[in-house]
Amino acid sequence: MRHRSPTRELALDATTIVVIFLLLVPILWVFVASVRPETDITGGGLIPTRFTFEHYAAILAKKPFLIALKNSLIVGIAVAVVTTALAMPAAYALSRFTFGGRNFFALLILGTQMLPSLAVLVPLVVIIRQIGLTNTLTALIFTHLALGMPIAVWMLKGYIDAIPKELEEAALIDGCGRLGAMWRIVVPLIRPAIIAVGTFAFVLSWGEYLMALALISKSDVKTLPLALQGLFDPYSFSWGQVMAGGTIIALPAILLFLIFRRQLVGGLLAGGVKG
Amino acid sequence: MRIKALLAATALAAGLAASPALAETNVTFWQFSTRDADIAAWNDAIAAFEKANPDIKVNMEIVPWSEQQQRLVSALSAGGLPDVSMLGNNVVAQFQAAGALAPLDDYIAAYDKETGDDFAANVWPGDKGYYNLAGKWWASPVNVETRALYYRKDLFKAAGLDPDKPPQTWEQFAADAKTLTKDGVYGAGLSMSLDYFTVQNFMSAYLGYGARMLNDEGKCGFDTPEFKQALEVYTSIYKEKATHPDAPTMNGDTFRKGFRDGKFAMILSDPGLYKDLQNDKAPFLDDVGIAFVPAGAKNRSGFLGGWPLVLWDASENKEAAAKWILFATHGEALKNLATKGGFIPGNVALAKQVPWTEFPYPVFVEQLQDAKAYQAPSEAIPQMGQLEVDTIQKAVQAVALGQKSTDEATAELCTAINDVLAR
Amino acid sequence: MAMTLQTTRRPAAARPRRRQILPDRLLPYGMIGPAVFVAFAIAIVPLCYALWLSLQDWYMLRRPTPVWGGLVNYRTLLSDTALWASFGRTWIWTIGTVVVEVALALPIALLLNRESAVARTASAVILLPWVTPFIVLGFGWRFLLDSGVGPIHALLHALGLAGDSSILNDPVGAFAMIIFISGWKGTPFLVIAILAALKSIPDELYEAAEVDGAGPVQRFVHVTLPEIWNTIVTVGLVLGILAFYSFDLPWIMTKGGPQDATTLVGIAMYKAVFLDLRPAYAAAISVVMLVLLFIASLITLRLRRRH
Repeated sequence: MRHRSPTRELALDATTIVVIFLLLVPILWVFVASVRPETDITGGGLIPTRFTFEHYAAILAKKPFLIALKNSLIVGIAVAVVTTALAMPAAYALSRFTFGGRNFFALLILGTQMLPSLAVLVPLVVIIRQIGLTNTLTALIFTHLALGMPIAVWMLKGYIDAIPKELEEAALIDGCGRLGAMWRIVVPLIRPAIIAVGTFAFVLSWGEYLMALALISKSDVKTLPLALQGLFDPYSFSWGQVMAGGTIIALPAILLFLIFRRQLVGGLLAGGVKG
Repeated sequence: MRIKALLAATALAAGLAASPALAETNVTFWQFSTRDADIAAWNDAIAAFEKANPDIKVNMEIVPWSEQQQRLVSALSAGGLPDVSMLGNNVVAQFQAAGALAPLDDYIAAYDKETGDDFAANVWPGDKGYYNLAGKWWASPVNVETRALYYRKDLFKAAGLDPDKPPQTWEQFAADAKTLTKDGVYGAGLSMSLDYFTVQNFMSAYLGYGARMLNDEGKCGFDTPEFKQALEVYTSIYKEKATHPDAPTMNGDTFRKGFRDGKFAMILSDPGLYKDLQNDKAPFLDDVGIAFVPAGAKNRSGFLGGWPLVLWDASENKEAAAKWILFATHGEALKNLATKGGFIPGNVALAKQVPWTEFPYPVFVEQLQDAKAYQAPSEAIPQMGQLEVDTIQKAVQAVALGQKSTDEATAELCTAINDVLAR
Repeated sequence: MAMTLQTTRRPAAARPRRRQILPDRLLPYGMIGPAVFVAFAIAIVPLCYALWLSLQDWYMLRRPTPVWGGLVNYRTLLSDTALWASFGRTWIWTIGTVVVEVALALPIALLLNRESAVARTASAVILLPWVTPFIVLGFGWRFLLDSGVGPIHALLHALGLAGDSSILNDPVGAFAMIIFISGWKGTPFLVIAILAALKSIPDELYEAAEVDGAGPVQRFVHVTLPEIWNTIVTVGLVLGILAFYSFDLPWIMTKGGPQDATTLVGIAMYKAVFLDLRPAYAAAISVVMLVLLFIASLITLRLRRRH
């Protein structure tokens, strides 16, 4: 049954292409609309004939949008760095040590992955308000840690498990401490996974909407998803601009994810299925 | 006397300017209008204020009308309120009841003393009940607003209607809207969506038919034949396809934009729309007629709108913030804002001057005689903010979409209103 | 405890080459401490706080700070018919989303379970809807369904599914449409999961079935389906939990309207805090959500096959 005839394969390939196209066409349409002149979007038929970057120029000339771009970068990068810095030692400890409460801690960290932001939205907003951190990027960074950290710990633990202990033992004999062994032996070996995990945390923070909506009301700390919402002004409204803004948010997420797909997909499934 | 006041203000400003440079105080200000003309006028006012008060910097943020209630409420619960903001006249009571506003009395007294002005005497009579609560002033009016009927005489002619006879009643309005709907133009830019615009138009109908939001016990008074009749007539305009097919979800500003683009033959709107049409150099400008809002079976009722500036109690710069409020709501600053934005100033003395004696303003000033609050004849209530965003429009939308009968929608509306009142 | 561990850990992390700052016994706690602290602060503390908050009486329009209210919010909640309607809607939404996901993902996964270059590329790009943020998809679909410019509106109009106005104006149509979009977004995740399960089915099982004379349909029912069943149930549960807590998509597309047609519990909860100024009541809603979800999850897990 594993040997199929070439014509059959060809037919299945053709079907695959059609199905995938239908599945992705809504997103492709967004991208295409972002490079069509406004008059073509509103009445130019389905097939694009003329291309323009005027919508990108228009939104990149808007100060609120640029501020939001900067804020999203700050939050995203901070979240990526902090997530990996917290997840790496935690994953190492879970992989290499046996200690009291290990299973409890593992469960606790993974359990947060299963907890959607909405479930903790109300208490978090009230707490953050009481400590006076609303309308700060700090608060947003902190809440965004929940998005990627558990999965990061889980994925890195998987990678560390796969490294033979003997490699570190040799380093320990050479006079390194445990942390030295981790830093010198383990980290270089799983560097691609670490980068992938950081990227993943960045991507999740980059497109996050709910927490930003609930915590941010000042324009100087708005992130991109909120700025995109701000483009809906009936007096100077342009679908092209909204789609261009959407593309600016979507493209980094899509590209980074495709680049690190190999590292991410396995971990995601493990985290999802075993959770 | 006014000139004297201005001189005094200038002298005061000059005195301040001459005093040794103080550390700069920042005043954040939420401004709700997204119209270019308004934004430019506010920027001018800020520039003039900062020139007169070099130690104060006003940071204006534009928070669209459609978002402001949600933004203010979430800032109230999560922090991040501005120092000064605009506010809808009917929600001043809500935020005052929540303890979120600061009274302006001390600043007003000082201002009156310095300038020889009389703040209270220059507030429109209808506004006093909104802004003077518990014996204190909580807001300083920028404008008063009412709606009138804009209609396109050219389209009336083309549809075989008499361009000098705009509809006088809601029934005629509905009938004319249907006649005018053709060739890609909709008869009326009438909103059925969960937008302020809906209740601001619909209130003319329900008050006109004699319905009251609150009965003598202070509970929902809408469950009456008068209200149902108004709801019926109003929503018939959508059911008869005499307005835009997306009217049940369209944003109010989109209707206004639509009239400017020539997509609607009639719309109920404020004097600012005429200013916009002038700025647009609309090709049909000379064919635009302005008349009173349609009347109901009982009377003619206009929308009583308007927005003041308020001082938020959380502000750490109250002194500077109040100075900005009083600057922007008086004298040349207000005159400039009102002329450029095309609205009627919330200052009675100012409204008696040119250009408010010229077309199109007099029809609006006259319409103001009939202008009433949503809950008229009852007093302002703190819950109006909630009622205004989430209840009446929902009934209109439900009937327009054919989801509920007029009876069902009215019954549910009353349940919803009583729920909010009982919280 | 997490706090003290975090502070003791700091020098160790900053200078990893220094030897033995912590005795080996404490080292793992120092390493895992910061992550545990974050998990505590972001999950455990808020959950406990929500429980406490739900027992307060706090209508911000009347009082700026909470006072003890006992079960007052839960009593209000029991008689809040609009809220229960939104709970009912949320179950339809959740089940509908998962049904769409399974219905789309299963055939696609079977189609992609091949070694050709096209199949491999397809299983990479299929992830696009999954990784594209909700805010982009929400606005994108609003564009596609707009009655003036939307190509998909034009299609639905031609098919008679939408009138002159956008399908998002019709309460039933909008709800169905957004459920479809929600399922469409989650489909790739399930495709990849099923694909992984399909690839791990040993060929011998199929060979044995073939020897027994089973046709393709029987092979699917007796070999494939049992082997991927647990994956579908578990991933379906994960996707179901995500769907139950949906907010972004219906909020961005319709703000819960028209009428209450797309008001899920999440939206009702959000409105309770940010429009009605009743944070304690919203906390009570979130506690009830968690309890109901917990029960539903236990029931779902019983659907798993025991090996």
